[in-house]
Amino acid sequence: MSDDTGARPATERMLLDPEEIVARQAYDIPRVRLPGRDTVFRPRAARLRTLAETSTIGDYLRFVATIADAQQQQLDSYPALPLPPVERMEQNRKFGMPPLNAVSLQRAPAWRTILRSLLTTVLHSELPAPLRVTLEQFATQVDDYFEAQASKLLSANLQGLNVAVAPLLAAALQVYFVGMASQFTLEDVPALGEASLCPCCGSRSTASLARIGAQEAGYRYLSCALCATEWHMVRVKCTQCLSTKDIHYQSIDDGRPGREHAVKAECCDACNTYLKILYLDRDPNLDACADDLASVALDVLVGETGRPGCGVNYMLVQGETAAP
Amino acid sequence: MEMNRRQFFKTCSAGLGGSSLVMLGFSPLAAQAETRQFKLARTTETRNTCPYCSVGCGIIMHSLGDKAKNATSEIIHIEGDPDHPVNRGTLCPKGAGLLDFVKSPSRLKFPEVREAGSNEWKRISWDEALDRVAKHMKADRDANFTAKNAKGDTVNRWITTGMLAASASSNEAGYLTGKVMRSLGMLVFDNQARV
Repeated sequence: MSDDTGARPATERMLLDPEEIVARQAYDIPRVRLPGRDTVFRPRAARLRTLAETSTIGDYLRFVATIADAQQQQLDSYPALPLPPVERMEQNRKFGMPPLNAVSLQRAPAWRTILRSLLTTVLHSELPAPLRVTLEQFATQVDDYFEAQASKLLSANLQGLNVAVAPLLAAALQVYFVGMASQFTLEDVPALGEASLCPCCGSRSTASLARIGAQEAGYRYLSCALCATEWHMVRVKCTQCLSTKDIHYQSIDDGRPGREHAVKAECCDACNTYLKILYLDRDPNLDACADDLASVALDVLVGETGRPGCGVNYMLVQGETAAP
Repeated sequence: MEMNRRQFFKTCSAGLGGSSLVMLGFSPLAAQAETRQFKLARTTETRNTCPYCSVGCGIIMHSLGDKAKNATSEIIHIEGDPDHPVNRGTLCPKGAGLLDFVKSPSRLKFPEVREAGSNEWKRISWDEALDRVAKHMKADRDANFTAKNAKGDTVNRWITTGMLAASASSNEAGYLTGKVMRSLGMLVFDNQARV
């Protein structure tokens, strides 16, 4: 209504003063849950192995668990990964951009060292012969190739991306971004209001989690596919177009009552997409990445109804598909 | 660009073909076979307000069913709405038992009347019920309306009938309640949502 607010640039209105953010913390739930150094890859590996026992893609889940172990090992060997220049992060924040904007960030060479060590570790594990050949070949590539591939992956440009080894490439980038994001405090992450993209690195989410815990019970957080930061978004609301109309949930009918289904696809008729939501009150061990992979049947079934998903899981990159 | 992203990054109807899983040499066959045995179950989550008291807690009601014409949808779970500023996801014991309230066999679902001298409740239509209520109100108002008090001042009040409106009323419903009841001279009325 007032001309005063209308005249201010959009970015200025979105941003809160540091004092405001601190004041809000006193009575608000955390709007952002930053990743910890031990809260991402180790639990993910354990969850993947549990899921692998009953999954029809168990072999693949165990392979991704091997990657997750190697990721934890790499993260452990870097107490503090180099952050971008402070002025750069400050500028991003000032203009309502994520401080570690993945698409434009100048990556430190450390991530390639991580990638090479990660490949060495994975190659030391027991692997099927064809997979070993693919990975050995990938490990011989030059730095420029890795940089080009990383840029393609982070900007979702599939032209010329090596889809087969993309999970390994992404694994190193995840270590790099989690390593950076875990050094942040809440004040380092701009309050961007309700956003579909990660406030820390600007990536898309893998799934959303309805959390448990004294403070956060029932609150829904989106889980970043790259840096594992979680950010709050109101429940029963499309995470892409923010519509609250005609939201419904699809889950796999396994004979149990619907309220017990821990993984559901939150479908929006306004933009015709879906994102999975994981209910931790129904299973406290759910992990966004692991359970998204293990519930791939839900993706296939919902996909068959003509509704594409909008989540990203770098551990299962989908290339161009020939018609079936 | 946006569409490409979606199609590229997620398993589409073609299944897992073209994904890193297949390209790294893992077999999608078992997963694809398993998928054939599954079907989808549709649920909805609907925001509402707890009907009990004047606090007006937000709730989320989970229901099962595809809202097709002939299918009956069924409420399967009710929880506090974590995003509601009043209760932030919490519910009192009465609110937490709402599902039993909804499914209670003794829940009143339509107007009923017990005629004078009878010991049985009889189902009546909403039209009939409202007509009867209006007649009772008119009779009572005609008999007990006070236009002037003992000192001769005009008071135009009707205090022998009262009304209590619901807790889940919006501001607008509360406003209308006030306007309609005041216009009759009624003083004894309240909105649960007032407190």
